[in-house]
Amino acid sequence: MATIVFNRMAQMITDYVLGASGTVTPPSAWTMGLSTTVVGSGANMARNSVWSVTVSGSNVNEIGSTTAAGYARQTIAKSINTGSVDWGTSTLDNTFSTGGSSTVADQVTFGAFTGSGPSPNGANSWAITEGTTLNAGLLHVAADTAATRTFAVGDTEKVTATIKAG
Amino acid sequence: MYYEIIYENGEVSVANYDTDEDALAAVTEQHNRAKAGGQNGPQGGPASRIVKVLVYTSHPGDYGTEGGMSTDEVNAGIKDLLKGVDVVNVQNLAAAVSALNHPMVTPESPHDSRFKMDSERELSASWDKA
Repeated sequence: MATIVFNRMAQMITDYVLGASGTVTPPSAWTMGLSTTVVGSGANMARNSVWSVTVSGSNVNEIGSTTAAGYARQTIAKSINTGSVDWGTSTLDNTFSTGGSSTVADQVTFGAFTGSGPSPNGANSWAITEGTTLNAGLLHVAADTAATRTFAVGDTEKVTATIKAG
Repeated sequence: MYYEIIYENGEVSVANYDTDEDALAAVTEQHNRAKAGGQNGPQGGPASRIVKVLVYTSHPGDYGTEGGMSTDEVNAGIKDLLKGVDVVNVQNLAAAVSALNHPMVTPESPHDSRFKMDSERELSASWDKA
């Protein structure tokens, strides 16, 4: 499964954590979206990718932007183990070369979808982002789904995000 | 319209439908699959029964994210945070102030809303007809 860390997440370390930036700041909550775009290995998503309705270059295209049919972004709280949908206690992988700290978010559910499903349909990846407007907001990380998910009436999709920083 | 779907197992999702009829078709299908031991969707895994659907005019995750908060609300929030405190940990205060406009809440029970935004109403039509 391919994954990518977008530039905005990297800037959170360089600008916000290290430099206390007032312009590069985390959102009041995270959101998760589903995309038709595969993460790939350089020819699809890129570190400077943006959400867009236009299928071109390294753009990331969100499902349901023409017809939602039940699709909406899901919110993940900016907190740890509060009982809301948020992040778990981080754990350390002490491996020198590939280690780091990781946290697992509570599972989020998309749908249930309705009609003949969203348009565009066919989720190939999920992304942690900001805001609830489709094909808008800053991208932070993305990962491929295990397979293309094409949704029809009554379907839901559950995603459990694990973020590892190392 | 946005619909907060609360499942029997305490999971939630926010869905965007044009009409209540669209919402009802979706939740009825998922709910019936759960009762029949069916799958949740192309991913596989069990479908989930639905216990409550709350209706919002905007995405409940938008609470506090558009246009910030009023000065009065922020002042009241800070006053509350500093109540009974003699020495302030400034970093902790900054984090607490940042959380004032957080859109989510910790529910008192698994079938309560996860959002601060007040819902407009509860979907009244029943999806559990069998």
